[in-house]
Amino acid sequence: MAKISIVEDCLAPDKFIYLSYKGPDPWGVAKRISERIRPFFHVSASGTNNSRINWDVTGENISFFSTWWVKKDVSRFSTMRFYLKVIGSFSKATNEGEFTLQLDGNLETKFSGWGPVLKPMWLIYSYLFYNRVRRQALEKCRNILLAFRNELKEYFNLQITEVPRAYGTFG
Amino acid sequence: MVFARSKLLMEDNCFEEEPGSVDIKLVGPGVTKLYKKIYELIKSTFMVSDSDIQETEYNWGKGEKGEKFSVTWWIHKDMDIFTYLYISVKLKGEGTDKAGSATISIRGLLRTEYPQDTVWQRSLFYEMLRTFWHRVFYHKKREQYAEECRHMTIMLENKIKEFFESLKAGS
Repeated sequence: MAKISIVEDCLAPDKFIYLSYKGPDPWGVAKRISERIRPFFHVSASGTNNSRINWDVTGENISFFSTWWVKKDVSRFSTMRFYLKVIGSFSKATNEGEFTLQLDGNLETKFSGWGPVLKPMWLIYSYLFYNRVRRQALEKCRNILLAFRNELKEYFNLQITEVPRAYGTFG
Repeated sequence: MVFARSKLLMEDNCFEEEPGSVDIKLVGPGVTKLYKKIYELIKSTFMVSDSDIQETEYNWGKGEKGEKFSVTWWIHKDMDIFTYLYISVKLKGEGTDKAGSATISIRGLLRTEYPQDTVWQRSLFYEMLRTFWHRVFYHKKREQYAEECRHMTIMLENKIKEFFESLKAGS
């Protein structure tokens, strides 16, 4: 069995989007992400993980670093993956500080089959149909990330602008 | 944008002379209102939807002296199947509703992409035809697009100035 695997960045041409905040309760971002990640991305417990929490209490400030990933199936051949990283610190006395959140996502498409016919089959199938599905999924993936960042902005009472909710411009 | 894995990319500044960007510095009241207003102006001036705008960076700090923020948007406007405008708008500011300062920088790029995925698209004959077509017809078209890009950038600049004047008059 031969395999074709294509991994595309959802936010291309950029790799990441960021949210930086300075003010009260910066650790609130991690609590909010953990609380909202499953309902927002519509995944079960096995589809997401808070894969790392670093917590440093030595010194005047508490510094933290935390990561999450989300895996969401699009179709039989494609899967979206989202990665969130937050790094920040806050004062023990005032609970004021800062954090930077980095978000990115990719779409992985895997297609396998009998070697000699795999590539022509894939070329025809993708040209006639599946390229549009991938393109739609890429848009959806990007929109999800932008909307999730907006939700976090709202949590901290920051100004927001509209983000696209519909997708399928190229469908 | 051409949906291909390998591409031949041509990029030009909309404003050919360096620095190739338009910079605006504003001092006065209501700078925090610029964030939402500029986003709306981008949509109306460049005639793009939410899905054509990507906010790549969002930094916002809240303090006793007011708010400090820095935001970057990238706008992607398709002109035809090969060419699109790629425009960055950077907004930086600090202050309160009563007084503050902001800097806005707009830089436009004109990008043309030719797909180079298949054997046919990489062949010498295809390249000869493409070069001929580009020289005879498309070069002129690209010049028109660059001019349109300059017009829209200047229009955005004027609209921002107008908005700022109305803020000053209203305070």
